[in-house]
Amino acid sequence: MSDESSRPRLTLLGETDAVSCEGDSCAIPSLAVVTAAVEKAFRSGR
Amino acid sequence: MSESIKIDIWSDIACPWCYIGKRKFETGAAAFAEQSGDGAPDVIVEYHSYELSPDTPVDFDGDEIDFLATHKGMPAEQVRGMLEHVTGVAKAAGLDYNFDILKHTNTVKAHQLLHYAKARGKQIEATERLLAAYFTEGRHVGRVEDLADLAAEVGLDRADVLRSLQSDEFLSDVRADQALAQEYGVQGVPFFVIDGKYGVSGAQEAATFAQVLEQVWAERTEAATV
Repeated sequence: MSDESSRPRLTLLGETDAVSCEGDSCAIPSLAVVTAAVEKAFRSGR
Repeated sequence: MSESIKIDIWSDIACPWCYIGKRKFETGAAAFAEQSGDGAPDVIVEYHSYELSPDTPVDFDGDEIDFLATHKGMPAEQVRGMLEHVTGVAKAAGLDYNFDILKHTNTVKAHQLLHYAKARGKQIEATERLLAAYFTEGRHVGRVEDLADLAAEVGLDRADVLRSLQSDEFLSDVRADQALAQEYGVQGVPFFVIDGKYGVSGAQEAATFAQVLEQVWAERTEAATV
């Protein structure tokens, strides 16, 4: 395992709040996350 | 100047947003290629392993609602509501998720199959086959016999796949992917790394993926002409 100093540095692009799955408790995302994504898509007309 | 853009994608088979994100990325990449015309670079995709829930058993007697309710302690009604939402978002992306028949399972062997397929130039086909099998067809993607059947459907040698999975031939490659994800600081999937320099997290909209590819390609083109 590499230490912190050797970690590749990435520049993040795209929307910062796109839905994803995180960790053991998030094989299915939370309702709040899904609802927020749907509301955002609705507001932006997508 | 390189005439290709490399996309490394970390995802899990048991990740509903990964399949949705895959489809949206493909739509965005196609739009980028169309907009770029004859000068469009090749977009080269490689999938990498990420296990969301490595403690999941290979065989679970129950459906997705049972699994989340019993293993994660979530109220069944809440789980049902979440799944309906995800199914709706998937539908909008052209995917017919069917959680009623989904067979929840451990995905480490499936990841090994994707590495086996990569070594034989079939990773993209195998990834699509496993995701469709899991989310839309209710196929089991945790047992080696079932995985070998799916592998054969994309043209891989069933007997050799069995040998590989039973011997954990590619387990070290799975672990290497997971270690690299940790080094990149990946905390959720899908996660896209572009040209080893840019990160895109989550199931972005297709238009966002197209925009990101345009931006990366424009920067590369500009750098080459300076």
